[in-house]
Amino acid sequence: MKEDFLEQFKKELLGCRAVAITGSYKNVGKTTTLNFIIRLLSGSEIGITSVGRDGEQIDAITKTSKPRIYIGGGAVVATAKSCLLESDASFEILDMSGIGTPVGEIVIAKSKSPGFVELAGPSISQQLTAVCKKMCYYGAAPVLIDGALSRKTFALPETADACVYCTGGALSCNVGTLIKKTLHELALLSVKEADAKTAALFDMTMNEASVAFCYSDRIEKSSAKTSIGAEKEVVGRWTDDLQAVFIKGALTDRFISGIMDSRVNVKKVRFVAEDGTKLLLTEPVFRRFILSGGRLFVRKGIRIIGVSVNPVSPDGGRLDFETFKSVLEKDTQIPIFNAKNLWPDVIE
Amino acid sequence: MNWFDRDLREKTGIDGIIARLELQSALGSNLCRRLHPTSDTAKLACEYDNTEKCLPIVRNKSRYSEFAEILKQFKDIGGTFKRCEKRLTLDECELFEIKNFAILTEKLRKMPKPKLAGTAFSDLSGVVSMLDPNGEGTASFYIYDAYSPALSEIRLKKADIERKFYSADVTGRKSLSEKRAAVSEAEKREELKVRERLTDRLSVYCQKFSKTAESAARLDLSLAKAKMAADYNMCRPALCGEHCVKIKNGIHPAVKESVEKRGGRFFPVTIECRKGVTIITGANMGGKTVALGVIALNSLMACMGFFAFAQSFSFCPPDFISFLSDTQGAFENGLSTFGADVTKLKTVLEKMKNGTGLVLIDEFARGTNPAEGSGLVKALAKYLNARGSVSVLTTHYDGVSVFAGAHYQVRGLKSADFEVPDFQSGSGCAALIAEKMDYTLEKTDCHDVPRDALRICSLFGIDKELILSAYEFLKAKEESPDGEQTEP
Repeated sequence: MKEDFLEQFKKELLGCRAVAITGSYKNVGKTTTLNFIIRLLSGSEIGITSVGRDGEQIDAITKTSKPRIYIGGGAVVATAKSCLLESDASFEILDMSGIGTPVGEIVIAKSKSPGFVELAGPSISQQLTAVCKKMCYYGAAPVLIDGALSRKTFALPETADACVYCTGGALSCNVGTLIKKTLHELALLSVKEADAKTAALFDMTMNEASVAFCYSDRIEKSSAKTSIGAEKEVVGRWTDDLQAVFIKGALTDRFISGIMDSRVNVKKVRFVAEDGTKLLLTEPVFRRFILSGGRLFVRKGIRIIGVSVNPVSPDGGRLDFETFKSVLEKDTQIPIFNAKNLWPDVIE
Repeated sequence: MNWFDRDLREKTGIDGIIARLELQSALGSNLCRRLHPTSDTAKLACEYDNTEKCLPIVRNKSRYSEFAEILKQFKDIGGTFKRCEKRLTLDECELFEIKNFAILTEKLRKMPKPKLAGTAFSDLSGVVSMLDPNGEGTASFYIYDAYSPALSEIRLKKADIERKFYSADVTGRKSLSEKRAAVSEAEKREELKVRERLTDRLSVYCQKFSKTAESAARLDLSLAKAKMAADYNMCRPALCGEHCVKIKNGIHPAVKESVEKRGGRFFPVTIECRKGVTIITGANMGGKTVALGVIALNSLMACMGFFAFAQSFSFCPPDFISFLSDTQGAFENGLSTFGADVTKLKTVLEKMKNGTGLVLIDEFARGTNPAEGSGLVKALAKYLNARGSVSVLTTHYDGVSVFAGAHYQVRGLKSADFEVPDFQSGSGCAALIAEKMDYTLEKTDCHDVPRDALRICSLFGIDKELILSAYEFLKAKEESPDGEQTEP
């Protein structure tokens, strides 16, 4: 069973161009998951970088000891110069990116031997895309992107085409609570991609607008700079020939609730947002919308290829992983695993 | 050059023009930022030569892109060169950058190219082979085993420990971890020794590195100047022995583009200004300021080693250029327009005591009462005409050109022939005037200024009664004994 899962997961990873490791909270095991994936893919030429800085030895905030990234030989790493030179692996320098960070210029280098390294990658979206492109050029497949907390928006979906979602006891040790929160997060991230025709219209229209209305024969752009507060306008424009509403940027509770409260028939209109990371909706509001027949799509979908669970919480509590897994499996096809269970000898 | 100040840069718009240069490298950009005007004719001739030599390259698309591709990759690693010269041990990234610098230099050196003054591309093949001991021919850099047998041995030991790691148990791992840490330390120490040796060996090349970087910058800048010259049909400035500025069909690209965007026509400026004063007169909206702007920009460009935006351009590089016009910031300093004009003039006259310059003054004393103003401008013209600098003055006042060496008039509306239509709005008139206005400069022996103001007023649809009344006043003034007649 374990071997099957590892084989399948490895195949899935190798089929991606770039995989983002994102977390719902601090200390949910992102770095352990990254180390596990690195170990799983040993022998392949992978790329590794991070959004911002991570992999420090002691977590600056919770003061818990954080695991470091352990790479094998032949890995293409993009990190700040000082981090690279301090690493106990030796590197072949491939490229000086010209991108600066608070800790120095980002260097792209290939490890000649295994070792521990601290990751300090770019924190700006366009820079991250440029760095990943370069790493692919130097043969990295896939590129693993360690996403810092609450910046899950950066790597997805412009740069990464898949994501491993990390959660665990740090968020909640209560199985029921964690299941609910996890399912909700997964639901938001996995919202379906719009069809090609709608996607094309979205691309064309949303260059110059943040909210737009698709009628049967025309598109009208709102002058609103954000969807926040635009719910009144949406209701005002709700006519029989309104087919879709496009939203760029965050889609909030207030927006959806505002529309639901006006008692319009949400079944009739499709709502299209940019991607799953822009859906800032709480569980009750989202559930109400879906149960009323509301249809929500995204311009670019996110593929979640695994859920990694760290049962341990920093305050000493422990989540019942097996129960969590068996309950969660009833509602999702995405493989759920505990990195430490599968590979206790992951080096940290 | 303290006369090359922000005010002159703004008035001439030179920064906007320089920004259009297509520089490829940071080295070229840095050199460009340090550009300043000079009156050294030998230096200028060198710069013009360099630009001319690059013209054949920029006219050949594939040759030009070959150079652009290579120059684009040159980074400014002057800091690394300095560290190397001081023998401060370089790290892997710095060694990587030097390796790439040397590889690019070798590529550039082997390319057929014109020999530009002030450039010398040294043979850095020794550096390339030093940083590529295995002859792999790659641009990447690593502290290769080949640099030290001791290093090679340490690394083998380390790899051995790492292999054992995965199959060991928990206690086994602990001791292997400690062994590994010790071996890693030894590796770092040996790598440091290698880097120290490399830094030492590279330090002898530092002068060559700097000279090469400077040469790449010069090549980049000369190519950019040549490309601009080709794109804008610029001409090589001719250097004269005597002080003068002669332009044939000169333009100011930014002004020309702006005029054409509005649907208008830009009239190129042809003028000869010698030692002493040249006067330009013309109607309102008549382009006198633009004419000064064309002279100023092209003279400044030529002083900085650029070609000129003209069919032909000759000059003697002046010791300074002063351009007095529409004084901005006057009110902030608590001065009236006139006060600001006078202050600036004082500075210019001071400069003239110590050098020969190019002085451009736009409508001096326009803000004062006409009697005093006219007297002042005549006095100024007389004063400047007796000096060695080349001065160009524009004015509204009659009779000033008597004291000048030459008088040019803007042709204006005088040869335009059209019915005065019944315009309601002013904007239609403005368009008509712009259409009929001829901004060509004509040399004249006449000492009067053109009288287009009233005509322009009537075109704008100003009340007929007012216009007729104005004509009456004008007629009366011309016939009265203290009317402004030409003085002997």
